[in-house]
Amino acid sequence: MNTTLFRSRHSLIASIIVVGLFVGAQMGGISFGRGPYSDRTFILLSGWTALVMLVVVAAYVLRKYAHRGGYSPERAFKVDHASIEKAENGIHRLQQRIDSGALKTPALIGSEARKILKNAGVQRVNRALVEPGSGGEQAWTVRMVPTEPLGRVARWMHVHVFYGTAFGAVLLMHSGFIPGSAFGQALAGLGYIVFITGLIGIFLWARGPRWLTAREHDLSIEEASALHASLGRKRAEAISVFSPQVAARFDQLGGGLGVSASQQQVIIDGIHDQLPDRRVDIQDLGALITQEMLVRRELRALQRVRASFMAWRIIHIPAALLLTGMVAVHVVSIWKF
Amino acid sequence: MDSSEVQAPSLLELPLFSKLTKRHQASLAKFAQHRVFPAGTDFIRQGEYTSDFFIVVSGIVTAYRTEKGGKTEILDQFTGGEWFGELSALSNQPAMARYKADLPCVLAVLDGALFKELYSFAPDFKKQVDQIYRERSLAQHLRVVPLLKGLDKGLLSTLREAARFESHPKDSVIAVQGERASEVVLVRSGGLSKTRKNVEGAEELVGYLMANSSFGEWAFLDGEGDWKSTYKALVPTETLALPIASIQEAFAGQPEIIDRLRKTARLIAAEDQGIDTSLYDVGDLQATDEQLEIMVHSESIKGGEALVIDLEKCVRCNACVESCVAVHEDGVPRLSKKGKRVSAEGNALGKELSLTTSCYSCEAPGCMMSCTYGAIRRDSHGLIRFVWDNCVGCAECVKGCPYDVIRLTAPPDPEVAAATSWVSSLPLIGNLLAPPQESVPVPEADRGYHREQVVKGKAVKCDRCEGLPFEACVYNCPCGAIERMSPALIFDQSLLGMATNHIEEPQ
Ligand code: SF4
Ligand code: SF4
Ligand code: SF4
Repeated sequence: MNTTLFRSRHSLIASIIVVGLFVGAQMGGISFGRGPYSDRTFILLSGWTALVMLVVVAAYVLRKYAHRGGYSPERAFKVDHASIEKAENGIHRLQQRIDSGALKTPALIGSEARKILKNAGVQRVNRALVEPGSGGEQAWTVRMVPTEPLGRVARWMHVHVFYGTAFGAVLLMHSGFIPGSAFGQALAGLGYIVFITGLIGIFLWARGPRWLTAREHDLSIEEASALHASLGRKRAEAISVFSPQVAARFDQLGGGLGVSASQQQVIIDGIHDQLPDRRVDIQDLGALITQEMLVRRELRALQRVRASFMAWRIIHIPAALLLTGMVAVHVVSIWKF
Repeated sequence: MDSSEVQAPSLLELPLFSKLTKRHQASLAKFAQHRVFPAGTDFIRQGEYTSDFFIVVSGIVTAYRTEKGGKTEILDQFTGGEWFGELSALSNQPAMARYKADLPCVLAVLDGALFKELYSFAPDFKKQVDQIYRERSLAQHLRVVPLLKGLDKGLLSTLREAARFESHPKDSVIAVQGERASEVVLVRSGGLSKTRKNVEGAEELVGYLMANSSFGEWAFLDGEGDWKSTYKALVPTETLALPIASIQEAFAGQPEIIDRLRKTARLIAAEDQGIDTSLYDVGDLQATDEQLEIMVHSESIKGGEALVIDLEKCVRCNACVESCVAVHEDGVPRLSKKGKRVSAEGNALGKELSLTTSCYSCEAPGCMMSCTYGAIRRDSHGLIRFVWDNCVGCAECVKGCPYDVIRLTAPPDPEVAAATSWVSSLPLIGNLLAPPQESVPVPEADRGYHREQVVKGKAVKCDRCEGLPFEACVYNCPCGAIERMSPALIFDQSLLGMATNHIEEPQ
């Protein structure tokens, strides 16, 4: 189980916000949502809080796809090889000074290292990491590591998980569990769907990788997929040397899918009869198709396991997109009217 | 290295180059560089990876070595016509000393590939280099032989005359399992495969030995002096053989040294056979830094760092691969998740892991040894880098890399029709899947040293997202599943005494 998904300071911050709102409402005798004991300030406060949380939650998605698409803004910091080399040389010399005993405290080493990085013009790309050395005489080691200016996506994931969960709770308080208007009900309903599928998703992401790893016996899912593609290409190539009529009969084998072993044998025997002099080629091709079928079966089985912990996104993502759109409409309509 | 290039007197006037063929003279004239260093410049740092060979044209250079504890000694001094750097040029190992220009200096520099070309094909050049190496650096170099590690340079110089230089062509057998072993062999350059017969008598590959590795320590143990494996040259290889009898003779009057050598030999022998070394009485050698160094040098621990995926965290979203593609203009991913699996029982972290196929900057880089075009170098910090201009896409490095991390991309010039891909390098099916296409000649600058060659593609591998403020794969994994760590941490953590949970947990 990937417990790192649950361990973050953001869990604490999100909890404080939710508990704060809840306790505040209880102490003020305010009922949630609209009603005789509702409070306009609380509705506005919880509404704005939910909106901010939604924006933060959506930022994770933007961040993730900006990276994958190659649009990360921090790519603009890129420096050339010569600058990196210059900085590395400087850090190497600094290490020699540390080893000779000239620099003893991490603060001093850190400040020297920062100067070196700045002089080389790589301070936005690399920072110096000062760590205790492993050898007795060498008290500290210094090396360059990436600055990772916007933080790892794994951290943004924490933000997504915890503020997303808090968003659900704040939404409950804001809407009073069952809102009055149809739009409000749709909005709340969608919010709950996103909230619940998200909770299921996080649980599955924490557990699922282990299921898949346990199921991967001889082939990993990546290997199975590459092997399957390669066998498919080999099959197509081997079939292409036969006439279109014979190729069509091979196609009846459907790459081994949906055709039983006995049916396959009948088809292959039929092709044998038609082309007795190509017996060896046909047998080889039959073996290739069987191999492809076995790999495909394995691949499908592995894909099913992966789908078991990824399928929640089929509901979560469209619902979340719709929810974002409806929240925008809700906010604008409240603002305007 | 700070330097400026200048015109300087012809190198061909130096005795070292007096007998070169016309072809080699032309190579030298074209590729050797002259550099000027003002007085007081440290132009090579101790520990820096360099493969350059230097000839002092004018001035004085001094080599200083700083031992652990800060004590610095002068190793050597070089004046006009003398040279240094042959060890690093041959083996690509870190410089043993700091080199400083005492006076303003003009140095001629041959890069590793040019040096190796002359060393392999110009006999007189090789003879002169070997002779001076024997006189000057051999004793220092012998300190990398695990058996002799820690012995004083003065003591080792007594072995100087006994050492035998040997050249082995590709595929030649250097030692045969079961035959009498009577020497310790140090690999100076190139690489060897090490095979052993299994119970059924079939030959099994058990490892590789690269520059500065050694074998034959068994022979030092009484009654156990047979080769325990068969050693075969993978590429043209230079070795240095030290007869055991000469070592024994050299230290005959010093029983404490003989005893120490025996203990070390036992430790190496046990390590070689995968035996728990604690069963042996190796006295003060046990579990010390020295032991670790011995193991590193005997190649039982590889250097470099691997990209490791924790399979209990990885949801197989492929963001790592897609992010790698996104930061490289050629759109070729430098990592593949189809890496080597390591079961939870098989590693010190106790987690199901996958070592992705991304470069480890190996201690003994098979890729660099296979490349004869000088297109793969170790940079001054030990990272293996590809020199784009020198690469001709011959795919030898792809075969040479034991971890299958190198990909071939199409050549950069769209007019060059030689499109090929890593698929074509797959055994048996490669040519079926990606038939070889026509290649066209390329400009002279892209050729190796005097080889007519066409550029079929360019080799690429993980460059750690050089110049960017992140390693895209690690940075973009939503689950914190992928991390960089030393393979030694995974497999030999108890030995290294490192922290257990090294996969960083985001806060
Ligand atoms: S490319 Fe392969 S052989 Fe070369 S350093 Fe990287 S992992 Fe080692
Ligand atoms: S460190 Fe960069 S280049 Fe290397 S595999 Fe990761 S993303 Fe690719
Ligand atoms: S990005 Fe992380 S979770 Fe996704 S496939 Fe790569 S290692 Fe696995």
